[in-house]
Amino acid sequence: MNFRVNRRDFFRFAGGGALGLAASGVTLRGISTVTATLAADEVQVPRGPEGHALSVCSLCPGGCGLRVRTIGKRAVKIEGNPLHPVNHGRLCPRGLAGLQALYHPDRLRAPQKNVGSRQAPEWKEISWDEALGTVAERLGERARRGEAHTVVFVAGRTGHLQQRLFRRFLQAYGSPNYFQAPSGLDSAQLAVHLQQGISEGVAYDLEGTRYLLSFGANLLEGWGSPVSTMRAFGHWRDAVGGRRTKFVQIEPRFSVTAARADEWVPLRPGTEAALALGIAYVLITEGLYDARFVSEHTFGFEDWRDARGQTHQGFRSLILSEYRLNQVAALTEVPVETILRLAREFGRNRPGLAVGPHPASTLPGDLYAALAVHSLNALTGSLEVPGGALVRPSLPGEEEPPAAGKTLPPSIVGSEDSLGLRPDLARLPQAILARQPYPVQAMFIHGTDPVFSLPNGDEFAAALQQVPFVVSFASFLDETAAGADLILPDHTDLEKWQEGASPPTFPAPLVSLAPPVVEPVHSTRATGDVVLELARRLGGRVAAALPHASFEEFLRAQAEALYAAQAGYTFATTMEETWNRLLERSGWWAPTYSTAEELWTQMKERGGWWEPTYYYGEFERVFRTPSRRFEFYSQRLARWAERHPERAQAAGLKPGDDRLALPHQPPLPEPPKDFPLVLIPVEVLPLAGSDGTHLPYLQQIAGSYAFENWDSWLEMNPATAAALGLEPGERVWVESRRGKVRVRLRLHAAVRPGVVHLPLGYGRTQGSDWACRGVNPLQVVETQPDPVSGWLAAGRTYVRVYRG
Amino acid sequence: MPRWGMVIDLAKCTACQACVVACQTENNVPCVEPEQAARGRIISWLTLQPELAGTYPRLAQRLLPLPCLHCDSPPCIRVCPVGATGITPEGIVRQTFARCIGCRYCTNACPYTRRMFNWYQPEFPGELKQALNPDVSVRPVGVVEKCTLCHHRLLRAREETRAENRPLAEGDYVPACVEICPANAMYFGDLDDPDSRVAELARSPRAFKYLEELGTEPKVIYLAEGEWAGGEEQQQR
Amino acid sequence: MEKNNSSGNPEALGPETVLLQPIVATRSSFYYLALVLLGFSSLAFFAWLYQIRWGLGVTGLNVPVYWGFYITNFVFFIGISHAGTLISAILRLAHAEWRRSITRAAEVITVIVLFFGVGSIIVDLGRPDRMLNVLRHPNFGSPLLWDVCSVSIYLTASTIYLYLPLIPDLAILRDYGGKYTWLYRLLALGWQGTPRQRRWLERGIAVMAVLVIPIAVSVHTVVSWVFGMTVQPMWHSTIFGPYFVVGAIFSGIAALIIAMALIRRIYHLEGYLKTIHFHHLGTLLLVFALLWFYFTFAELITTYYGHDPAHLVVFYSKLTGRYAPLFWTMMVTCFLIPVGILSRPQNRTVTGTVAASITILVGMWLERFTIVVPTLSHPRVPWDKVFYSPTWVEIAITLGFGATFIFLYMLFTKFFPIVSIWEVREGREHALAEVAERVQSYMPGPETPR
Repeated sequence: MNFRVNRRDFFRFAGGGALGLAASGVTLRGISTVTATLAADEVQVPRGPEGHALSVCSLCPGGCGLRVRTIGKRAVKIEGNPLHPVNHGRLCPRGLAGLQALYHPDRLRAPQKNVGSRQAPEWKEISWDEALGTVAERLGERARRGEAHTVVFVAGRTGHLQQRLFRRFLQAYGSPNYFQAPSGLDSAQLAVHLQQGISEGVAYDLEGTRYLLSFGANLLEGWGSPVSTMRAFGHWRDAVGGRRTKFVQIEPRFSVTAARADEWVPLRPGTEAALALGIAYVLITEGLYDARFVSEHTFGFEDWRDARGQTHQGFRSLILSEYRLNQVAALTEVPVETILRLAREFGRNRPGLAVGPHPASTLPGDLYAALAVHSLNALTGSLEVPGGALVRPSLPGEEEPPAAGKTLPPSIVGSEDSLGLRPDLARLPQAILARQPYPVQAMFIHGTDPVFSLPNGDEFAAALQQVPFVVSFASFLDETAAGADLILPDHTDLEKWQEGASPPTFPAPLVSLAPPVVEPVHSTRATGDVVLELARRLGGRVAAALPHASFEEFLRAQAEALYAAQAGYTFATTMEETWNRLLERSGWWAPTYSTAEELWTQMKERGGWWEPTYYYGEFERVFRTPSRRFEFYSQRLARWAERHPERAQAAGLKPGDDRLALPHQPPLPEPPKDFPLVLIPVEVLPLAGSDGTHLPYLQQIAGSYAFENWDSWLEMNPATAAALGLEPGERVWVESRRGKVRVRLRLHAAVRPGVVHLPLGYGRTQGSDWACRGVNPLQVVETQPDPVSGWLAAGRTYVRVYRG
Repeated sequence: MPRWGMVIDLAKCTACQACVVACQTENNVPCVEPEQAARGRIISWLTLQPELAGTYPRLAQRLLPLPCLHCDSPPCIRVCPVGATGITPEGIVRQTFARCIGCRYCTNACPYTRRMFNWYQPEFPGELKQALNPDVSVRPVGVVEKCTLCHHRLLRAREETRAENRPLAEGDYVPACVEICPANAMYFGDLDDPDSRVAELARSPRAFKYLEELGTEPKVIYLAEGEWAGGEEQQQR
Repeated sequence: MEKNNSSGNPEALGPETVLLQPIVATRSSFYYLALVLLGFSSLAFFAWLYQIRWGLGVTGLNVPVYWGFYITNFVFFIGISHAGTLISAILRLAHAEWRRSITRAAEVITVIVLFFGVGSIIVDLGRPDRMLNVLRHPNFGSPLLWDVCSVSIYLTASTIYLYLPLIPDLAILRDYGGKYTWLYRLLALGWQGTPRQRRWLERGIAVMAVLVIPIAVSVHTVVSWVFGMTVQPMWHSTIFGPYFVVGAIFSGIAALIIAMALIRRIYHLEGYLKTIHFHHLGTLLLVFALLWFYFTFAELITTYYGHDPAHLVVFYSKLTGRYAPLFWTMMVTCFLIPVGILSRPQNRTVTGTVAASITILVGMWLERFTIVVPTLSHPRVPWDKVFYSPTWVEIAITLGFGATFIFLYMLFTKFFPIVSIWEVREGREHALAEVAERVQSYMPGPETPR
C-alpha cells in the first residue's frame, strides 16, 4: 500500500511523541525526587567508634543493668548487662524504650521558672546559676527563721544511693520530712514487719520455689523486679523431668499473668484474705502444715494467755471457727473442691510460696490480706528456706549515724498516724491543707508524680497550691511539675552516674553502678550533683555533711562502705560466680579486688557489687518480734490497735477484738444503690508504675492482649455490657461517687461480670502530646483510708457505666 | 549452608513484649502517630497475637509472639512483580527495600499478615533521629517492610568471625528479639545442624507450626504450652 | 468505495452524513460537558499529587485491608475493556450483521478504558517512581507481572484492532477535507480503497479478530489470578478465571449499551443504533446475567458446604455481616433487576437495556469490591475489627478516572466517526446479498462451494 506522509506531518507527530515521552520521564523523575527529598532529612548516620557502656535502668524500681551500644557520641541501642544478677542481660520492654526517653523531643531542656501564676503557669527558661541561687536563697531563709523542718522532700522508689544523699541533705538541713511514693509491695512489707518485726526488704526465692500462690499479684506485669521475676518464670517452665513449678494466679480478672499461669482461680474481688485463710483451714485440718516449724518458730498459733492473764485467740482457733470451707466458698465464690485441691497441692509441693496482694506497683493492697497470705508461708515452713520467703540483709553503709546536733521536730505525718514503716505520702496533702502540726513552706519532688499517681492526686494538687515554694526535678513536664515554681530537670538514665540497690523482692544485697553513657543532650543536670551544689551554697552543717564535690565522689564514698564490709563480689560470669559460692561455703572470701580503688574500678566495669550467698535459717536475724518468733498474732499490731480504738470501730470490730491482730477477712462494704459495678484499675507492664505514656514504643504495645493501644479503654464483660445495652467501641461514662470519666468501651471476655477495669498510666494533661491521652482511673477511685492501716489504697470503688 | 530458624517456647513466654520493642529499636521501625494507629497503620515486625476463647470463667488464652515466620515455601515471594522479596540460600526471606514498588501484593499474599507498609514517610521527631541504628536502613514512604531475622547481625557476625579466622558458632548471630527475652523463651540457630538447640527443640513433641495446613513450612516453630505434672500427692523435694 | 471530491460538504456522503456531524460541528454543550468532566479530572489529578506528596496514608487503606478502591477500579476497568474488542471480534467472526454500527463504539471503549485500568494500578503503587522496575527486574512467577504482559499485549492488539477498521474511515475523512486533514492523511496510510488494499485489510482484521479473543480471555483470567493464586480465604478459588471473564464481558456489554444509548441520543444516530441492536445486546446481557449468577452461586455454595472456618468468616461477612448491604445490593443490581427487566423480550428496548446496564455497572463495581475487601478484612491470624472506608482521595480519583474516560471517549467522537462508515455502507450495499447467499447454502440441496 502507499504510505504518503510529508515532512511537516512527520515532525508534528514525532514532536508530539517526544513531548509525551519527556513528560512521562519528567513525571517519574519528579516523583522520585519528591520521595528522595522526603527521605533525605531523616537519616543522620552517626560517626565515630562503636562502644558499649554500662548503665542502670530506672524506669521502674526493678533495677536492671543495662549495656548500651554507642556509636561516637550517640546511644543507638539499649541492651542488658549480661553480668548483672538481676536481669542477666535481658530486659523488659520499658528498659528498651529508655532510648526514646533520652532522645525525646518533648524533654525539658533547661531549668524552667514559672513566671505566670500557679493556676496559669508560664514557663521561662533560666540559667542554672539563677535557679540554684533562688533555691539556695529560699532554703537559707527558711533555715535562718528556724523553719528548716517545714521543708518537705518527696522521692520516688528508684535510686537508692541517691536517696541516701537526699536524706542526708534533709537531715543535715534540719527537716524530718522525707517521703517516698507508695509502692504496691508496701502491704507485703508491712505484713512482714508486723509478723516478723523486721524493716529490711522482703524477698522471695522465686527460682527455687515449687509452688507459687499469687493472690492478686500481677506477677508478670509489674510486680517486684519484673525481669528477674520473668526469668524465674522461664526457669519454672524449663524444668526437666516434669518438675515444673506450678504457678497459681488468684484474681477476679483473667489478666495476662492469669493467662500465663498454670491455673487461674477467679474469685470475688476483695476476698483474697478469706481464700488464703480457707487454704490455711485445709492445711491445718489435714495436717499439711509444717508442725515442727510452727511449734518452734511461731507465736500465736494456739490460744495464749498474756502477762495480764487475759486469754487471746490464736490463729488456729480463728481459722477453725470462722473459715470453714463452705463459708469461704460462699464468700469467695471459689468452689470447695478447688480450695481443697489448692491447699493440698500447696501443702505437699514444698517449698511453696504465697505472695500478694499487689493490685499495681503504685497501689498497696489490703493489709490483712497480706497478713493472711504471709501466714501461709509460715504455716508451710517456707520462711528462710530455699524457694521460700526471705529477708534481704541490709546493705553495708545503710545504718547512718544520727546527725550530730539538735534532734528534729516530729515529721508532719507521724508514724503514729499510719501504721507504716515510713510516713505515708498520701496523708501529706491533708496535713498541708490543715496546716497541722505546722504549715509546709517548701517542697521538693524527685522521681515521682504524686498528683498523677496517688489515688488522692487532686488533693495533692490542692495542697501544692498552699505551699509557697515548690521545686520539681522532673525531666518531663508532668502533673506535679505543672504546679511548681521551679523545675530543675534531672538527666535521664544514660546521661548521669547511675546507681541502684537491691530491687524489691530480690534476696541479695546489691549495688548497681555505672558512669554516664552519653554527654547530656540538653542543659539538664543530675539531681545528685544539684543537691551537692545546694549543700555547698548553703554552707554550714549541710555542707559539712555532704563534702563531696560531685555525685560521682559521693558514690565513691558509698563504695568505700562496701569495701569496708569485707564481703561480697563484683558482678561476674556464671563460672566465676559458681567458684565464689563454692569458696564461700568453705568459709573463704576471695573477691577479685583487694583495695577500695579496685572495687570501684571493677564496679564500673562490670556493673556493680553484690553479696550472692544467702544464709538460710538465720531466725535470730529475721524474727525480731517481742516473741522472737513469727507472730501469727502480731503483738505490735495489737498494741497499736489498743492505742487507736477508733480505728477498730472503723474496721467493724470492737476494740480489744483479737482479730485486729490476726489475719482475717475484712468485711466487704455494701454496694451503694445506684452504683452496681466494681471498678478495679489494672496495671499493664508497658505502663508499669503509672508511667511511660510519653514513650511511643510503650504506647503502641500497651494493651496488645486486647488489641488496644494509645488510649484508655474500659474493659467490661460482654454479658454485663449486653445487660446495660452498651455496644462495643462506644464512648461511655464511668461514674463513681467521687467523679466521672468518659472512655471507650472494650468488651473483653476475661473480665468478671459485674466488674470493670481501667488501665493505669493514662490521663495525663501535662507534658508530651503523646502522654496526654486517655483518662486517669485514679480520678474516680474511692479514697477512703483503710480503717486499720490508714493507707489510702485504691479501695473498692463502686461505679455505674452508661452511654454518653 | 545453615538454614536459620527460631523456636519460641510458649510455655516460657511471659507475653511481656520485650521482643517487640527490641525489634523496633534495633531495626529503626518507626512509631506511628496515635491517629494512624487508630486507623490500623501500626508498623510492627514482631507482634504479640492474642487469641482468647471461652466465656468467663472458662477461658483460654494464647499469646503468640509472631514475627515473619521465614517460611521455606513462602506465598509472598512468588507474587512480587519485581523480585523485591525472595528467599536467600540460608533460608532468610529477604526484603529489598530499594526495589520495592509498594504494590502490596506480598502483604496480601502472606497468610499471617506479617508484612507491613509505610503509609507515610516515617517520622522520628526531634532528637529521636539520633537513636537510629546505623546498621539498618531507614525505609522511605511507600515501601513494604518486615522482619529480616536481623540479617545485618548475620553480616556482622560473618565479618567478625572471618576476621578472627573461625567458623560461625552458635550464639554469634542472634536476632535482637531472641537476645532480649527475659524468660529465655526464644531460641535461634541452624535448623540443619542436628546438634543445635533449635534443631533439637524443633523435634520436640510439643513443637508445632502455625497454620501448618497451608504448607508454608515456617521456620519459626512454636512449642505448645506444657502442663504441670504434679498433683496433690507428696512430691520429693 | 468512491473517492469523495467534495471537500467540506458533508452532504456528499449521502445517508452517512449524520455520522460525520460530530466531527464537523461541535455544539456548545460539548464544551460545557467537557469542562465539567475535566473539572473532575483535575480534582483527581490534584488528589493524586497529594497522594504522591504524602504517601498512600491519605487513603483509607490500612493493615490488613491493603487493597481497596484502586484495585477494585483496576479490576472493574479491565473488565469493561472486554466490551469492545471481545464483542466486536466475536460478532465479526460470527458474521452477525447487526454488529456493523456498534463495533467502533465498542472497540474505542476497550482501548481507552485499558489506560484507566493500568492507571488504577499505578495510582495504587507506593512507589510509582519505581514502576519501571517491573521492566528492569521482572519476576515472571508473579501474577501481577502476567498482568503487565497480558494487558500490554491486549492494549497493543486492541489498538491495532481499532485502527485497522478505522483506516477506510480515515481515508473518507482525509478526502472530505475538513479540519485536521494532515492528521487523517498521516493515519490513513495512503488508503485508496484498491481491491488489493481491501484484501489486506480484511485479512488483517480477520486475523486480529481471531487473535484478540484468546488475548482478551487471558487478560481477565490473569487479573483474577492475582487473587486466585494467593492462599487467602475466598480468593483462592479455581473458578475465578472463568468467573472473572464472564463478569468482565457482562460489565463490558452493559458499558457498551450505555455508551451506545448516549451517542445515539446525542448525535441523533437513531437510524444506525436501532432498537434491534439494543434488543440483541440485551439478549446477550441476559445470557451473561444468568451465566454470572451461575458462577457466583457455584462459588458461594461450595464455600458454604466446604465449611472451612477461615472461609466461612469471610462468607458470613458478605452475606450477613458488615458487607451484607453491599453484597445484597450487588445481587439485586446484577441479577434480580437485569433478569427481571430483560427476560421479557418486550423490555429489551433502549430504555430497558440502559436501565439494566446502569444497575449492572453499579453492581459489578460492588462485586469487585466485595471480592477484594472482605477477604482482606478477615485475615486468618486474629485481628481486631478494622474497617476500611475510602477517603476523598480515593473517591476523587475514582470519579476522575470515570470522568476522564468519558471525556476521552467524547474526544474520540470529535475526531473519528463513532460508527464505522465504510462497514455500514458495505452492509447497506452488500450484506443483504451475502446473507441471502449464506442462508441459501443452509437449505436442503447440493453442497455449495464456499
